[in-house]
Amino acid sequence: MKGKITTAPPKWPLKLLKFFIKENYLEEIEGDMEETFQDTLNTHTKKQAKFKYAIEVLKLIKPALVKNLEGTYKLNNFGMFKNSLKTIIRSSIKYKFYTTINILGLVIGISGSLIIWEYIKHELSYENFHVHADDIHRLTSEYGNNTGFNVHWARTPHNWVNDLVAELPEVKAHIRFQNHAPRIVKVEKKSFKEKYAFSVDSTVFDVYSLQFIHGNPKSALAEPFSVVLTESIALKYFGDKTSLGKTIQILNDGESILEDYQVTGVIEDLPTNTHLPINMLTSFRNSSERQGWAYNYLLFEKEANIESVKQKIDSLITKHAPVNENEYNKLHLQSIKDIHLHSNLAREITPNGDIFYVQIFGVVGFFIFLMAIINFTNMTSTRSLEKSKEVGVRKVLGSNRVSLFKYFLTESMFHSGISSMLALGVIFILAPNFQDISGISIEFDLYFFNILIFFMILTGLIGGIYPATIVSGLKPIHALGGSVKIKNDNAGISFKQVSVGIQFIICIAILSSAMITWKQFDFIQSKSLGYDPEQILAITNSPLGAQAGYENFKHEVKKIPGIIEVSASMQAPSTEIRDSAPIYYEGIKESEKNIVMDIQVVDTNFVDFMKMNLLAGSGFSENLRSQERPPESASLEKFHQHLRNSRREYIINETAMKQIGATSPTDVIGYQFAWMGSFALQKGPIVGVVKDFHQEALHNTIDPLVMIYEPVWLRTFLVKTEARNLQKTLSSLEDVWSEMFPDYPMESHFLDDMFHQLYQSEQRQKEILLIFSSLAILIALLGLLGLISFLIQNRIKELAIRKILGASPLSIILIFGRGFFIKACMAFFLAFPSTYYFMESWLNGFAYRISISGVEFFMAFLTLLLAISITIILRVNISSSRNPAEILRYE
Amino acid sequence: MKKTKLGEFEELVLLTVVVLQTEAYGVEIKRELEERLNENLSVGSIQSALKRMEEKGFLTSKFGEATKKRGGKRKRIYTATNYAQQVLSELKELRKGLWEAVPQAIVNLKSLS
Repeated sequence: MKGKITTAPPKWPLKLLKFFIKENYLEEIEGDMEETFQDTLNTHTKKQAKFKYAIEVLKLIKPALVKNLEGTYKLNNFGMFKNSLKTIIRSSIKYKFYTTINILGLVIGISGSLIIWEYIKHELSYENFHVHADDIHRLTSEYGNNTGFNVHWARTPHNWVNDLVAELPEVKAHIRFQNHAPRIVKVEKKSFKEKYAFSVDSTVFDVYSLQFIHGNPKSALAEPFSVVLTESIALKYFGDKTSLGKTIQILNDGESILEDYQVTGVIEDLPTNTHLPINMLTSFRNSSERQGWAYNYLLFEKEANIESVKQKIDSLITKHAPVNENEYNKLHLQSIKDIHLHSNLAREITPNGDIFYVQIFGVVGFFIFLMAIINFTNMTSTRSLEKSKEVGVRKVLGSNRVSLFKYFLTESMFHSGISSMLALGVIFILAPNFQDISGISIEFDLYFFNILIFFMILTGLIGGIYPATIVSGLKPIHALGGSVKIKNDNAGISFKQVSVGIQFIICIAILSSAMITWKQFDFIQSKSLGYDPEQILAITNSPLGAQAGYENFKHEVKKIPGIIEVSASMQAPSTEIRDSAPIYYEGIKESEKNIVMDIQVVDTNFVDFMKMNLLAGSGFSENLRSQERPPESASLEKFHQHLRNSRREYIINETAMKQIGATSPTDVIGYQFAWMGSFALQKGPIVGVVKDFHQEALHNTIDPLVMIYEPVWLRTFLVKTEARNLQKTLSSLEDVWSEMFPDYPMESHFLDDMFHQLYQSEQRQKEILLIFSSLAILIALLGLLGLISFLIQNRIKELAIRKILGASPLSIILIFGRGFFIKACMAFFLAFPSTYYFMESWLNGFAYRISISGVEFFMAFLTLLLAISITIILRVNISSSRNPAEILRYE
Repeated sequence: MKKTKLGEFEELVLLTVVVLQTEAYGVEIKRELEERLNENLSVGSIQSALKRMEEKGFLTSKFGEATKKRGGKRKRIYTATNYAQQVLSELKELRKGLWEAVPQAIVNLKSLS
């Protein structure tokens, strides 16, 4: 096919050529392309030729031929970069002060945000090591009656739960964790009391992802009397030797002798991010043991519709649970991933965190990061005075705006990079301290570095774009001829105004919230609890055998010098009481039947021992003690008989008194009363009313409480000791104990320690919060320092003249700080309402709280004003140490 | 001598320039090489090599005549510089020396396959 010479090559590739090919190559290349096209027409169709032409054009995009890029493109760019770096380093060193502030602010900002990030990541990661975490739900039980009493337990007490769950086809596995109380374990000659030693179904390993080191998950707990240890427990018991196959002895609830268990497996220790820590797991001894209180977990099929399961459960309850018209039972499901942050039920296994704190820290972290970037941006852009000369010279020498922009962006990335490396070092050094406070260890893995780099790039970009845009746009003529007029920063709404304002608002908000939070925690910890917990040692969870020997124990211990008195109770003060049941009261109106109250069992001397305030009545009479309690070896029947038939006397607290409708304590004394729990107790007279006291943390309001004397139920021994020679007293005490109860280790804590434990998680959060708030304020102050320094630098001539004319420090502060003071006032008015509202709603979560006066806010405001003034004075003094004549001479 | 002075393709192009003498311009070089190599080459690769070598000092060029076929655009005629000639013969010597050093047996085997 002969092609006509008049066929032209397609137009658009030509345009493309013109666009990217170097000017001086264009003619030749276009010509070559045309000639080649014509040649192709000789051997191909027009269409094919045109197509080939287009492809050839694309293939012309080679570095050697393209505009703006010389053949030595790579070399040239690198050279430019090296030069930029040199200038950046030189200018950073020249303006040491500003560079230091910049970098310091960024380091604090980046390391602070990163640490908070790690914290949040940890808190949100609970249970994620379980492969089936998405499908595992916990079954919780709620009980309520029509007096308004309601309690929601994290575990279930009902035996019919097993049958109910069996009727749900969506459930793949149902495991129960029982024996939540610490159990006594004897290994060779040593005794231990282990927490988190649960008995559980053999299918537990199908539900939870527990890594086996020795042993087989399929069979480990298949047989009764098997036990699986965690690595560190195995180490504790057997040292380096293998534990598989060895025997340990365990004391089970309700038994009086130790039973042999064989070690059938060792699993890895669980990581910290779980609500269910495990030390060891035992199999059930028999199938009837799966009763009573247990933490229930259900593994659902992947496609299960949880909502419909919940409805099924509601309808199944009416079938399985005994119905009483005045009360109700409900079962709820919670995904295990929600437990740590959203669950706050009675009898959680370990105290949970709170999504609230995660959110707060998220906010604080965000503020820290925000302020660091704001400062960075401000610092960089306010230096345009110095920069303008540099920019002017560069432009005269031929820089275009784009490359200047890139240069300044490089500068901020450089600062960001240095700060990130320093921040990495800081975090590395502080990691152990952080772990002490929060329990979280920071892993320096790939993920961590990714986040670090992300922060670094983000900071560099955000912090650098705005100043780079401004600075690269400066005109040389302004820079080089005459002085650059800086916009009057004290007027008008510019980025700087707004950012300073924002920082002030954040400062006032954080300062005042911190002060309020501090006050609240102080208040809680020092509020009088209603009795004196000092120097009382509580020996908790004594086993059955020890309880029987209580009277003996009391007798022997009182002989020890340094022991003042001995008493006992069922629940140690500071622990929750949720053993509640309906009560009977003689004087009650019909409509108020079915009041439910908690019960605490105490020794007859308890009220005096704890220095409680008996408002009316004479307390327990001594002849209660004359009733014989059945010996240890007696049958269950005998115990039940004893509990039901013993003569009873009752002491109630003020709240209880009010609940039964009495107004004055003396009114109820002598009236018949009874507590009708699982063992319906005999009716007896009310012999005392005590002033309300805090059995539990001050978080909770005081519930109505009934106290009785029943030796069988006294599980916690209380020993009051003198402060002098405490060690000696304690060791004598231990001697008596081990002599009387050689098989049982003595587990004891001082009551005031136990109370402090309650607030441990608050204490911890408080510390962390304070640290990060201080960081945020520090950053703000740094920014303030930088801005003020710059301001003074600008007006240094004015300052010099004023000083010569004799201006007092005060007037200097007022003149130079005017803009800042005005902004501080505005910040105060803006911060006050929102912070107030927020703090109010937080405080309302506490049963006992302080009230917010305006004091904290004013203090925060004053602190800010003070900070501004001090900074001004400092900078003024530093600057004015130069000879004024020198300053004024320069023009 | 640094061995990175001249790439393989560049060497081929350079030699072609020497061969074509006064007719050494883009498209002609391309045609010549395509014929000898028996494969298709793109204008881009030729041009790129020519420009690079010009940078490095192996070629000089000047505008030639315009033709209708080229839509009225002039062609550029390339000439190898003395330096280029020198480098080319160095390379030739290098290769020749190596080939002569190849043991006789290998050469024979090769000719058998």
